[in-house]
Amino acid sequence: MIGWPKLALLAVVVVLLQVSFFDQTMLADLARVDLPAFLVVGLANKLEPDPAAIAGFGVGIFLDLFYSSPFGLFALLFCFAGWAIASITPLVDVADAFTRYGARAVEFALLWMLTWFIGGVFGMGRTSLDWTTFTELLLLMAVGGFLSDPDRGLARPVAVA
Amino acid sequence: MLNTHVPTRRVVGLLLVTAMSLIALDGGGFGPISGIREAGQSATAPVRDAVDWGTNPFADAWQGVTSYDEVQAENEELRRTIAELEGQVGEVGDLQAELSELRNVTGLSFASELPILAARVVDDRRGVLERVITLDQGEDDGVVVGMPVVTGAGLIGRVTDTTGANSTVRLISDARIAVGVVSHSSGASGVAKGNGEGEALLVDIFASELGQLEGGERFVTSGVDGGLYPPGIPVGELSLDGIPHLVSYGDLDTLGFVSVIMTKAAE
Repeated sequence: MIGWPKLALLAVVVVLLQVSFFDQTMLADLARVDLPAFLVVGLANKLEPDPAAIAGFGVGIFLDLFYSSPFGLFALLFCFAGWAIASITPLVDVADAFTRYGARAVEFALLWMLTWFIGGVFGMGRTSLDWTTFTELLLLMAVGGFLSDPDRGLARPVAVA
Repeated sequence: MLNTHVPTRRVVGLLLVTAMSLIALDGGGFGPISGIREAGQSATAPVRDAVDWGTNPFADAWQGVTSYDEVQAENEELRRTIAELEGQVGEVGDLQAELSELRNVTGLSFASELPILAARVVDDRRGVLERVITLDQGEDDGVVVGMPVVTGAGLIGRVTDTTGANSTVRLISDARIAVGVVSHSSGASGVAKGNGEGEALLVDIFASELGQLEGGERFVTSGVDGGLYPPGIPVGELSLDGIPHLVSYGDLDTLGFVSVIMTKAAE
């Protein structure tokens, strides 16, 4: 059983924090924290693939309200990412916390790069990936590995019985 | 509470198809989509304002800590610029005469009779894919989608969405923006395209004119892109270091006040 109302409230809070604060703030002058993506990765590590896809769709469609990208773009991305990450998570279901941290960081990186790729299809984002971009990605992976921890990160309030 | 096993793959497939349909509808200019966006943004505006109010001091403090060196460097640069400008004041008369003559010859109109509406940047959001600024002037003030937005230095973007009181501007660094440009020194013309935040604008110059180019040439809007941008708005300075690109005149990093050129209102 999943606490959907709490999950919906969490999604609203995370998206509003992102568009009101984190979209205007640089981390160490290098990277912009992407809370909704961290949340989707965290939820995908906590939920079964289908509910993770639904949760991803919900977070994405709410985020779509605030950007000028094609409406539905983030819903599509996060829905697919939620389902795909939740599907592959059992493959790295190991006891070692560091390995799980690394896996979440890689999952975030895949989502981030998918976002860039799909954005590129719609003519958005940078047209070239340089060292600044890779530095930003590495920093976000380091932060994302922690914040997408299903038990201690952003997805913590969501109860799954 | 819902059972985790109730949803099926069909639901996931349906959501993906829904998302793709929404993208297609939005791309096709389906009106209700922008209505949904506007309603969603309006409904959450009080909460966002509260978050802004609560987090702004932290954001400002963070900005001060992380950008201290930049601010100092910017101060020194401004002092140097002021000193240079003071030295150039005497030349202004000659330059004005020259400018006037150039306008007669080429039809430049950056400082023309087109009405200008000053606006304050009230929101500046940078997502993973885009950066969008919001102005405190909207439909009620006569702002219409498509109007160019400039600073004193040159073109910085175009209005892409409006509400009664606000308008959204897509900056020229956005890869979806393309501007017809021309250099009045060499006569070369082409298309400048956004290349992402913090990146110089890419510029496609017509092949036959490539040989005539020199670094440092000033490019202005050519006015040939269906009337989107009036001719003569400064866009950027050409750099031939690698792929030809334009270093934008408009400082996109620190946008406080801008001007909307009321092109459609003037028609």
